[in-house]
Amino acid sequence: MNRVKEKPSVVIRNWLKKNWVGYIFVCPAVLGFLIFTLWPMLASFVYSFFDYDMILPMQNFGLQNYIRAFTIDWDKFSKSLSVTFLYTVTAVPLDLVVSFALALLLNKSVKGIKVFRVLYYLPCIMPSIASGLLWRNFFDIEYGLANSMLAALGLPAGTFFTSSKTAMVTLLFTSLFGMGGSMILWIAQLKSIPTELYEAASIDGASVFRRLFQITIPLVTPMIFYKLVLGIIGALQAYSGAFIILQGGPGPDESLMFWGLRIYYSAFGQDIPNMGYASALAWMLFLVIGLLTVVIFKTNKWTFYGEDAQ
Amino acid sequence: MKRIIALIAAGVMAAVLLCAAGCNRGSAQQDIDVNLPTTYEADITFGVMDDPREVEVANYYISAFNKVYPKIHITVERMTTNIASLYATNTLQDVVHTGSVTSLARRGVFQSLSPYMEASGFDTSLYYDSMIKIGQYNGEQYMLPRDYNKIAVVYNTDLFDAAKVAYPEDDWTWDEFVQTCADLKAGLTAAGYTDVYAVDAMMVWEPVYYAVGVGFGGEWFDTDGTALFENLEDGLTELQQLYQKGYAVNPITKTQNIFLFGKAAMWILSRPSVYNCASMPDLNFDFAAFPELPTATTGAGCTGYAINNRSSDKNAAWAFIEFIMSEDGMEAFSQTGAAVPSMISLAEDPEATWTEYPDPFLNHQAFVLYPGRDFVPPYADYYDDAYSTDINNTLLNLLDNVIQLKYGGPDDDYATLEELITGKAAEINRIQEG
Repeated sequence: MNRVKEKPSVVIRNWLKKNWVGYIFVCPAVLGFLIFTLWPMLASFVYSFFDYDMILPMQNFGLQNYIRAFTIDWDKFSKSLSVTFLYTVTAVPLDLVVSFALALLLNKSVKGIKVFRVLYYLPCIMPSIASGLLWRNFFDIEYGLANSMLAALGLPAGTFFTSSKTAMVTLLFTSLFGMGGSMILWIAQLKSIPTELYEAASIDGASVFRRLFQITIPLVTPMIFYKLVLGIIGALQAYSGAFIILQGGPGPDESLMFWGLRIYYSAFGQDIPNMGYASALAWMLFLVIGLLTVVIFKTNKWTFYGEDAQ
Repeated sequence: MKRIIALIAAGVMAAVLLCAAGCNRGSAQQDIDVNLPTTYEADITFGVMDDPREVEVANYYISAFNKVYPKIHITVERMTTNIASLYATNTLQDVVHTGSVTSLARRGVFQSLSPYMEASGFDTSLYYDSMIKIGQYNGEQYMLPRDYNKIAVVYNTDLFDAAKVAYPEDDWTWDEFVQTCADLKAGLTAAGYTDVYAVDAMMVWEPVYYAVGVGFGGEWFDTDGTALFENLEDGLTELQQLYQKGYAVNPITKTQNIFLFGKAAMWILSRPSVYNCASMPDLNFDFAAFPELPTATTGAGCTGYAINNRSSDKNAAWAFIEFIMSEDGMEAFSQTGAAVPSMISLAEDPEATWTEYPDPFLNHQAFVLYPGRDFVPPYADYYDDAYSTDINNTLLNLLDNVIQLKYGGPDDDYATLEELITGKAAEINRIQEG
């Protein structure tokens, strides 16, 4: 049967008439994305090719900001790269393993387990400013509680955030206290594993470790994948924890000068913003995150989405 | 369909109104008038640093100013980001409290005050010349100083008594200061105060390390911004020894103001920090002038007020700044006790109102003695302000390495102090090559 071809204006009118309520509802989110995310992104992309201080007009179009990071600024930029990647390759696995182990422990049907879950989750509801100040005072090498505790145990005093050799380890230690959020996700995933599988394995005489490696871990691979992707993205963008604890400083010998902190310093850390260079650094970070995310997705053959998953 | 069009139209109107609301601070041409009638009506904004005490100071000014100009309404706003960003987003206030001038004046953010000063016969000789100069760029005045800040020493009288050490005198030298530190360390240890330092010397604070470097014959930057770092070994070694001998707390690793909590017998400070001392109920203290260095330099600086170049009513803004700089305005500022007024007659008057805070019997003259020694570090005007953070971080890194003796060891990048200093100078010069 031949259909009568309608005018485009009529098609659009009918389409809008049918879906207008939906468009009204998504309008705030779409407008928010366009105005507060896409537009600044595009603007920063343009800035990255100019010398731009936000006051005088943009000038000197070219790749100078990108080149600068690998030439004149290489000493400092490479330091930020190494700090950021070191943090990523340690913080992401640490978070995965420790929060998973914590979730396994707190997934038991033991009386009072909910109290422990709440206790482990509590640090997550503390504002980052408050916890940053708390850690700063805790690790004060002169008068902080950490060294008082070590002294009480007869151990030598720690240098914590005051030495380039210990600053990163100390920061990683503080990050452990934010694992309650990850733990909740793991527990939700663990609860979704059918108990029949464990019962069958037990009848077959499978040990605890065998059940862990043959049942639990394969069935939580979607969560591992999810946390891996978000963890890497978050770790590469990290800087706020160190920023608060060190009161905006980069740490001894710039040992905590994250890539994100360098962007912040270039853009807002001085009287005159160097917005062109900051934008170039931000776009390079975006590119690295994008590439790593693509690599993770492309190599994702190990995630188990169920027998019927396509 | 009509409903959708109405909704879209309403949205567009709202967006236009929002944009229009954000554009109310556009530049306007206005003839200079420095003799506004007292009935003049205006609404201007006053940007102060993000500190509740600054709001308090602003309200003192406004209250006094409105007695003369009751119809100039001034709204105080705390500046929560840097001036450049506020200017770029058209949200910079008409009158701005600032500590930096050159980089912003160079970019046209501030209105030159020189024509207003000329028209009104403003007398700069009433103020400290070193402070007036801070507000100048390219021969024009862009900021007028409201305060006169030089570093001095505050000391805890209880700890001095416990250590049985004599209180410092204003005419003490650097060597006597170091000797006092040694006496305090010995005396405090003997008295059982084993976790108390002799001094929080603020060694990574610009007015201290720049002044000490120059005071011992060194030079930091050339006028074209080139890092020279010549003859700095003596000055930096003096700072190093304060830490290495256990007199001073490590300035980089400390996480709190240890003087306020009775963990240091002395603290190098400027006048605004007296507020912090006065807020500690059990702290007994007094002041002494900063010790005399071999070439007699004492770090000094100021903050002051400028006019946004895009202000729509610069005449009203000038009237406010002129009032702030008048004797009445300076007296209003003096009453806050927040800092030393930049007007010489008030600053050097031993009975001026500012000397009553927090206690008139303290040695407030420590903050104004020896103006000939004032050293205002000019370096931020010399080097490329687009890289000031990197330069400052490199300077901090230099000081950290010097103070903690991070050279000469098998894992260190530099074999000697001289090499370290030269290496950091080269690093700063490389930063500026871009």
